[in-house]
Amino acid sequence: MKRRLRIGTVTLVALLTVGSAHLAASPSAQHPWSPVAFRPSVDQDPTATSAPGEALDRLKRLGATAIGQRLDSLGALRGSLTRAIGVSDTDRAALLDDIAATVAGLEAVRTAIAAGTTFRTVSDAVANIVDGYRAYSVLVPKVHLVIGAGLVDQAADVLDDANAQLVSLVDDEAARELLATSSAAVARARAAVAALASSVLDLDATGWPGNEVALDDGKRALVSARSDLGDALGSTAEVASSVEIATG
Amino acid sequence: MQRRGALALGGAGVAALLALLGLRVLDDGCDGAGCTARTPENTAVASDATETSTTSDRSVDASIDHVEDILRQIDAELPSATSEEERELTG
Repeated sequence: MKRRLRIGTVTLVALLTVGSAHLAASPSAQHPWSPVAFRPSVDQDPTATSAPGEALDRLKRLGATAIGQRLDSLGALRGSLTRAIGVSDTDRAALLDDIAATVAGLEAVRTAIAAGTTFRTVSDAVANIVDGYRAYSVLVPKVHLVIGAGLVDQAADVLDDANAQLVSLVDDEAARELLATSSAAVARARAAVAALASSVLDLDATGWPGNEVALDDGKRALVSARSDLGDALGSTAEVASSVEIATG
Repeated sequence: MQRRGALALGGAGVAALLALLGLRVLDDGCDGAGCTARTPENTAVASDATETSTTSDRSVDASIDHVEDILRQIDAELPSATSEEERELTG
């Protein structure tokens, strides 16, 4: 009798194990406290392989690591933005405020994660790292787009100055046409990024994923301006080279 | 008088031929239209023009280098200007 009971218990445990493994493998089977079902890094049920205390610690470490990575990136981003040429004071100040607010928010999340005592509160805080701030999806790209637009304006200014100097040095029609081609390409580059900063400046996590369209449009504008500047530089350099040859 | 006129015509003919051949005589102040006597004044003007031209060339060269540097910076910005959803999900 005892033996039969033991066999029955073992079978039941085996069935439960198989069943729970199947549930864990199924995308629709999520624990209610699972942070974000689709997020690979926090997707697995930590209690499946660890004791509850260990699982909580593991989730806390995961959150702390994710926040640390973002804070490092934002520190580097702040440095790039501070050094960037061609970014207006207003845009720079607005973006530095965005970075500061995101850093402060992530630091508050880090504190909440460290202080969390239940899996629910910690997993909510971990999910908020991404959903609440979108540092990598929105903030980093938009700052780089604004820096890029500023660089385009800088390059355009330098090319316009160089073309103006060369016009006074050349005396043949072909060279003048090349300079006109260069100036037209510079004008296209300026036009491509004219509205870039204003179109991305106000994007934040609340508009995700819809605001990805504006970021993609901004990227295309920057690529186009970069291409036009390359063409303009080629024409200007060709004229400069011919002037050097003529003047010895 | 006739001899001097013939010499002048000859000189003009040689200058015209040189001009046709594309050979412009710059050093002695002569070109296809005739010669200008070299004086301290016009030599100084020529030097100024050369100096201005050379300065402009250097300035343009520096500008081109500067633009090349800026374009490299734009190239460095472009990958980071991409929305990094994947990194967001796994970071």
